[in-house]
Amino acid sequence: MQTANETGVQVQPPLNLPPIAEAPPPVVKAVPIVEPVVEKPVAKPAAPVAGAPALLPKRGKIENPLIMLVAWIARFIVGVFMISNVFPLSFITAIAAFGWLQRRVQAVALRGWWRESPRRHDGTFNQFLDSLGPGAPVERPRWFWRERIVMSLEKMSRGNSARAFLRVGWTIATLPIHSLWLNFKVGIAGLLTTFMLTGWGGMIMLFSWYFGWLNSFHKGYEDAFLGLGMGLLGSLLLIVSLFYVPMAQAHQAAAGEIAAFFQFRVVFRLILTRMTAYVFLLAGLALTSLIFEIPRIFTVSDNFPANTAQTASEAFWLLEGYWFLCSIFFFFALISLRSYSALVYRSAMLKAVRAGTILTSDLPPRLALWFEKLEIIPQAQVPQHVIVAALKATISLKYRAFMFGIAFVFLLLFVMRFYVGYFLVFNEYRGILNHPVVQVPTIDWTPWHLVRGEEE
Amino acid sequence: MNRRDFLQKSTAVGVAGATLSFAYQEPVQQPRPMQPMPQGRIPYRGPNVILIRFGGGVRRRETIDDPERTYCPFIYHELYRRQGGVLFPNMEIESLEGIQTSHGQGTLYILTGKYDRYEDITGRFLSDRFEAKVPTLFEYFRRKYDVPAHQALIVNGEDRINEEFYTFSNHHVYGIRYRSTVLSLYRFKTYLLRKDIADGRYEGRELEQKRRELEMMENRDYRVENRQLVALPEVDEFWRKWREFYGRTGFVNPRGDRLLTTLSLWAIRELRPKLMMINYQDPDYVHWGPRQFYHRAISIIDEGVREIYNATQADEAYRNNTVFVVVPDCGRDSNRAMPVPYQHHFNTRSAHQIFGLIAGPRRFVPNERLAVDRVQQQIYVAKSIGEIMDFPTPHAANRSLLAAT
Repeated sequence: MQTANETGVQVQPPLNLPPIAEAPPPVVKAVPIVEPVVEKPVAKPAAPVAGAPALLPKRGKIENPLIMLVAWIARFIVGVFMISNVFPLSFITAIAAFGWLQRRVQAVALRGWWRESPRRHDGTFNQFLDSLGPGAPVERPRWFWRERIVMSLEKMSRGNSARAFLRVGWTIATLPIHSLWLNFKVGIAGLLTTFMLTGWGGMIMLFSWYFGWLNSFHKGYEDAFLGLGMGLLGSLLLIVSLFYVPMAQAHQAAAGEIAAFFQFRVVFRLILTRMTAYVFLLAGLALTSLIFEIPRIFTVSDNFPANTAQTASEAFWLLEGYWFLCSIFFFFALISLRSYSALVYRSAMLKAVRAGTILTSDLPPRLALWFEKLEIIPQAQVPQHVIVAALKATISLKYRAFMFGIAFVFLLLFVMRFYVGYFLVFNEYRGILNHPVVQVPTIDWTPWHLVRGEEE
Repeated sequence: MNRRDFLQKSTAVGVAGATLSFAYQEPVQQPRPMQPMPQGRIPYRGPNVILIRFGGGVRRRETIDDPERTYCPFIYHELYRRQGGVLFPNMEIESLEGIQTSHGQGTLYILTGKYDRYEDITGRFLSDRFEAKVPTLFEYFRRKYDVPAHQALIVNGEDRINEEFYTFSNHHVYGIRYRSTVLSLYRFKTYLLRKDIADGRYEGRELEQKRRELEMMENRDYRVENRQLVALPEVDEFWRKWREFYGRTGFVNPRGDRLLTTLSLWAIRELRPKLMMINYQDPDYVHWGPRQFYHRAISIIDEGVREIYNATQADEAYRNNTVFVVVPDCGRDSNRAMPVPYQHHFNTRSAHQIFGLIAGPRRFVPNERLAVDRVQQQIYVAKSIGEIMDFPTPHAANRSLLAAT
């Protein structure tokens, strides 16, 4: 029977436990630990996936300036040939030229970020690029030969297997044209995205020009509004797209992927971050298009050499030579414009990332990795007084609106230049659908009948 | 003279003056007739001439150079080859200082038979309001022959209103008295507006606005100070019938150069012109670029000429009594470096190169199926028509195309 004490706790009978054994438990003697000899594995170069680290060369090479100059001149000459050789081949090779320019933009952007990075003290820029692997950007892109040949061969030769042998064989076989293929690949990707935005306006303008003349000068016939209306609509679409495309092209070039072109929020943020400089870029595009409209209009003259040539064949070669000479200046203008575009882009991106207005998580993977490796991170911003912040925001809004207006004017001039020039020299669908300063970069306007060897 | 003689003579003068003063009456609120024509104008009994301005700028290449590839087969194969016309394949507009290869200038070179430097009288950029300083074909024609104004016609398109005013020159001896008459949509619209105002279609402020608009339209040629001086009841009747047939919207009647053909056919039926110039123009649309604007327009002109020819052959007064003169106002460029080499006519060598064709009954055009290779000038057309219709052209170039045959 159980009973409770005065506090209510149950009173239990005492436990009868067996006694503890007197003998201590056996103790296992410690055996001396003999560490096995382990062979250190040979360090293999890491796979350059998304910029995985590789072995750094111990000494950076400093390039001979003369060699650098000659190399650049050679690339320039090849570039001119790429945008102007023989129509219609010019149009095709100009795609590769577009890709080459995109690769150049990528290198310029990355160099700017590297120079602002703490990693710049670790070595030269080329060393940093090499650390990114054989597929990393190069400051001076090649037209034909593969970049980083030795590194590529080393990578392909990993493992002593038949597959490695085939990889090395294929690499060697494609050595002379790998960069050409790369230029085409980047060019097609860049032009595809560009035309996806700008092509709509061009197509509508084309329709307007060919089928919109349902009027006399003094009366509009039925549906006369269609032609003029479509022309205005197409022009407006082109203007709107041209406002976005240059920055988007630079972003796609840097990121190396098509999806980057359509990161609307990121691209608009970049535009707003460097609005003034970007408007200057648009002005440069409009001015360049205006300047290079002039050579096209010269073909109207009775004394133009191709018009006075004895035969169609002679006229063809004279005309191709003429476009080639003009293309020297045009390619120079393109390089300048794209370089400036890269400067604006990289500055905008740097500022935006540091200010935290663009997060690295918003960026394409390649850019995010680069920023991580370059240790470019958002910086703490000095808090501002609320009045100062409001004032800045107000001025900034008005200023941006003003700059939008200026940009619209420049792009309107771009379109007007087209209409005036096209009334003087009608190049069929080519000039309406392709604007060389932002699309396929060729000013080879040789008529088809001369290509066929015909007078007309 | 003695006192008797003086009194007799002064009485005679006074009686004569009084008689005349009773005979002359100033009409009140009636259209004042033109100044009486000078004596000596004779009835016209010669051939009818239809002058086709193959405009606005065509090349030999698409017309007469290649019989198998011509875009105007009727003109080439029928008028020239089968009807036995005279072709001038080497006609040109001479390359002189100040001579332009354009529509207004070319039309005046044809009409006046003289190359001249024309400048827009208003001084506006890209405007081509010209005035001839020497008489036009129509003035020469009407000065000699007693032909009413409505039988000396220019059929004009609606896109070239400035050419409405080539009806007479500034020459002090000729001028408005011997003017031609224009048939065009612009004139039709002027007629409509006048009629609407007269019929009381408008009132109040709208009426005032329409009156001002009418005044502006009628006085567009500042040289015609009074519309009543140039009123032609025959032409008003013509427009009345036109309106009855096609309405007033402008969307039912044919358009472009087909309109000119229709106006010409109507004119032949209603107004019976002796001398008629048709200012075809649509090939000029190739300024915008698309090739079919040019080629199609040439064919449309050719079809129009065929219809007019058939109409003349179906009309007893015109059958075997009508001469066709075909001449472009200017050529077009041939710049092979351009995708559309003939897009413009900017005074190039090719723009100066045109052709001419005269086709008609043997008694007026004596030669048959002849191509005159020698270089001829566009200004020779005036004297050629003067020879055919037998009127002098003293201020025109003194050479005839027919003399080269």
